[in-house]
Amino acid sequence: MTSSKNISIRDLKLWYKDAQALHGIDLEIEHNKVTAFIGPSGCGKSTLLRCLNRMNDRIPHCRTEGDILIDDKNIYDADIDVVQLRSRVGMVFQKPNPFPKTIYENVAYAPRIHGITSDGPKMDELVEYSLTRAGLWNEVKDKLQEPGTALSGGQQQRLCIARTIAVKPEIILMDEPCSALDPIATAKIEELIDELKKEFTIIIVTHSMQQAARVSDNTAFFYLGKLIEFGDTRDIFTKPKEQQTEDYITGRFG
Amino acid sequence: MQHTMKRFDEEMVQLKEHVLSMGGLVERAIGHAVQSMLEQDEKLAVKTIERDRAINALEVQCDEMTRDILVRRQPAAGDLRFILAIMKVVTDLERIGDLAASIAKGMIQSEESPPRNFSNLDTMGEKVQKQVQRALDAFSRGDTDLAMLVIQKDVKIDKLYKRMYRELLTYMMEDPRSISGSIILSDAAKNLERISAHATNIAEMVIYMEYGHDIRHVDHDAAAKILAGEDI
Amino acid sequence: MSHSMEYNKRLRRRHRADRRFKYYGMAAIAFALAFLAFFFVDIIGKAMPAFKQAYIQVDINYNDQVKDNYNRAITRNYRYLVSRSFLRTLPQKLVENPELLGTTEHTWVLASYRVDQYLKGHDGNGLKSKYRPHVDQMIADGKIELRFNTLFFTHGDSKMAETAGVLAAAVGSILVLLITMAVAVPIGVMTAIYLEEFAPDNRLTQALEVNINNLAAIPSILYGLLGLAIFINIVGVPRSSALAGGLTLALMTLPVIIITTRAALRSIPDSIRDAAYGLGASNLQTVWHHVLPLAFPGILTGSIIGLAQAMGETAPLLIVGMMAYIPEAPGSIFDATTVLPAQIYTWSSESIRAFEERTAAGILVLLTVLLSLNAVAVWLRNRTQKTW
Repeated sequence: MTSSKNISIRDLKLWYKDAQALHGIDLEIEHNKVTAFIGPSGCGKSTLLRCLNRMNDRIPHCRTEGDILIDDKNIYDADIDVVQLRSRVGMVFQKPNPFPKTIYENVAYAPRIHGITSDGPKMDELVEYSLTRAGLWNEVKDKLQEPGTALSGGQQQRLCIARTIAVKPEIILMDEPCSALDPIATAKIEELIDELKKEFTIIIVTHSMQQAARVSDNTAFFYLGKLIEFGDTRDIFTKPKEQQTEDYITGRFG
Repeated sequence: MQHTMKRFDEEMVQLKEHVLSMGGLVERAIGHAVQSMLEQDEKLAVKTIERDRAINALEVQCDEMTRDILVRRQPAAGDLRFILAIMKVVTDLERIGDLAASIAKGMIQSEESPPRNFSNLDTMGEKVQKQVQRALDAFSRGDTDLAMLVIQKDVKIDKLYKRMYRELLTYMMEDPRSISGSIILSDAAKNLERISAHATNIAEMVIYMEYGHDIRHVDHDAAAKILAGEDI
Repeated sequence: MSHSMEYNKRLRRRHRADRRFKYYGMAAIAFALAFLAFFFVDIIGKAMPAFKQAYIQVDINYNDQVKDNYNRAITRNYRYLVSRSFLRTLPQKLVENPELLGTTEHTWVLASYRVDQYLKGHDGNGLKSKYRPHVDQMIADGKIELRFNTLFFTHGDSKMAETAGVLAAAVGSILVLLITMAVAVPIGVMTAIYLEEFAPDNRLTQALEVNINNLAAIPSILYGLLGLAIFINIVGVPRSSALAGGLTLALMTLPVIIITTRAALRSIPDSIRDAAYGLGASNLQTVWHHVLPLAFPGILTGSIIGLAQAMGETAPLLIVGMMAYIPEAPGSIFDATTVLPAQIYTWSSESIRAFEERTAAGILVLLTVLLSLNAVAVWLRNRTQKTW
């Protein structure tokens, strides 16, 4: 069960100042699967997601305890370089946030700063590859020099995904990637997630239970900073074991 | 606990009430059909056949409500299992209604040559009616023990049917004039046996609804194990 | 829908209150605009005469006596009418051009401020009544006329009102401003970037922030005292020099630039930083590649407005001795220098009527420069602004 490619979260605790946001999370996230984090607002799902690429480091007075093992290596170890970690664990945010630069620059930025590819034909290739993987190439191939912010919301979000996969990460974290999008754009992103899971391990935080049911293989339900239930998505949505899970996904939360 | 959306609760309650009243009609139809046969009451038989339409109408209504809930509420977990169970239960009830009507139709046919001996039809009718009643009670209360009882008792109904069939066969061999009457009687018994099978289906859906386990087409011991495992 | 009478009455009252509120606002704006219009009409009206200067046609006799007494170059009747600033240059001119000796030149020369003021209709301002018929005759003959006043822009200060100009003060202002800019902008912007993007959020930085905000509210004259104490007394920067003034103003401008730069940085949505950090950019890369380019227009505007404020400042410069009589434009940042506002103040306290119009003209020049700076700020902001 424990393969080195999985992400193992072991007894993870997190505090914002004195308020404990995560209470000893134990979770084994499978490789090349889509894992959904669901739960009511403030349940700690986004916080946990942001632990996986240590985005929480940016928040002052945020303290963590416990281990997160990726490739059997604790990412909270002192010898882990956050910059390098984030090139392996990409992130897509709630609000599409392309840089106010050209579409090309948006995709080429990360490979350039990480020194993966130098500018020139090789970069052109990588940009085309990334945009194609994100299902955006045909829509933007004639306007690569136009600003990324001029695209529609759904296209912007796919540009952000293209930008993330340009550095060929192992894991992609998605923090409510469709909450600002209309249903058609949402469907495209979901189709993309389904496509991308062949290559990447994807973890998605979502408020839409239908979305979690549609795209994920495994689902974790959080409540008040605790992992209540984790299992196969089909089981979680037809026969959850915990009453709290049942109440949440049937809309009985009060 | 209640749904945050109160209307959802109301819809679920309404749907359940519809299914139960459909069940009530079906129970009565079985009783009347068997009674019409035993008492050779043609009027009652005709009435029973006519009442089957009401059952069919209720089936359509229940299906509509189910569709509505699926589209508007997108039920999950327990709610989803409840809706799935109801879709099956309603079909079973409608089939039971049809089978009861078939018994009544058999009575009308048997007028020309009424059976002389009704064998165990009265007992079997009572028992099958009891099966349906138990299945509906189990559904209404979510009572899995009662549902298991229904599943176990179905074997007895089968045995009862086989015994009755053999008995009727001897009658027919003894006296060829009783053949047409016996065939009608045998058909009625077959229909009752089918009704009991549908009642068993309902009982199985009750268990699915409560535990999320599908125990259809497994033997009783395996089913009991699944349930025991769940109960721990 | 029908509502009760009571409801309709209330509704009408609410609409009336809305309209009333709108009118109050409009009235306030009209009031402010009226003040502004009055101010501009008054200043421009007063300043316009300063851009014209009286010239007079006279005979200049280059005789022997001129070298010792320049008054002798002109006949007694006219002597009083010609600017003494002009007459004073004659001995030097004769030394440089000896061949002029013995000749007479019939030419236009600068008139004295008395003639100038008489011509501009400021009666009884110095021009003695015995000259008046004479001057009137000359005006009628076309021998006295008003010309565009180039001297105002090419001369420094002077005790003779007719030759007093803004050049020295303008050059001084530019030097001071350049020094202020060179010192305050880099230090201010770097401080702001550090505090906003890098510094941990702790007691120390919070204390720093409070103090910087307070510094912006300190009376500017205190910065003058600080500049005097540090730059002149301790460091030994020459008094009255552009360097002393520029450094002092830089001190005063720093908090403004820090605050506006921090505001500009803070207005960049965190989503951009998230995006960069999420891709594995380092702190420096995030700030340098993404945050700064976006905040640049805001930083620029803040800096320009800070500098414009510095340019209009007088009080701290008074303390470092820049309120001096400076007839010549400074040659270096160590020379004694004055600045436009100080020049305006000096002129405004002169008793001679001719300085009044120059005061107004000086204000107009200063205003023009300040408004131009603000216009440049707006233009730069619009040009460099990016949407995200």
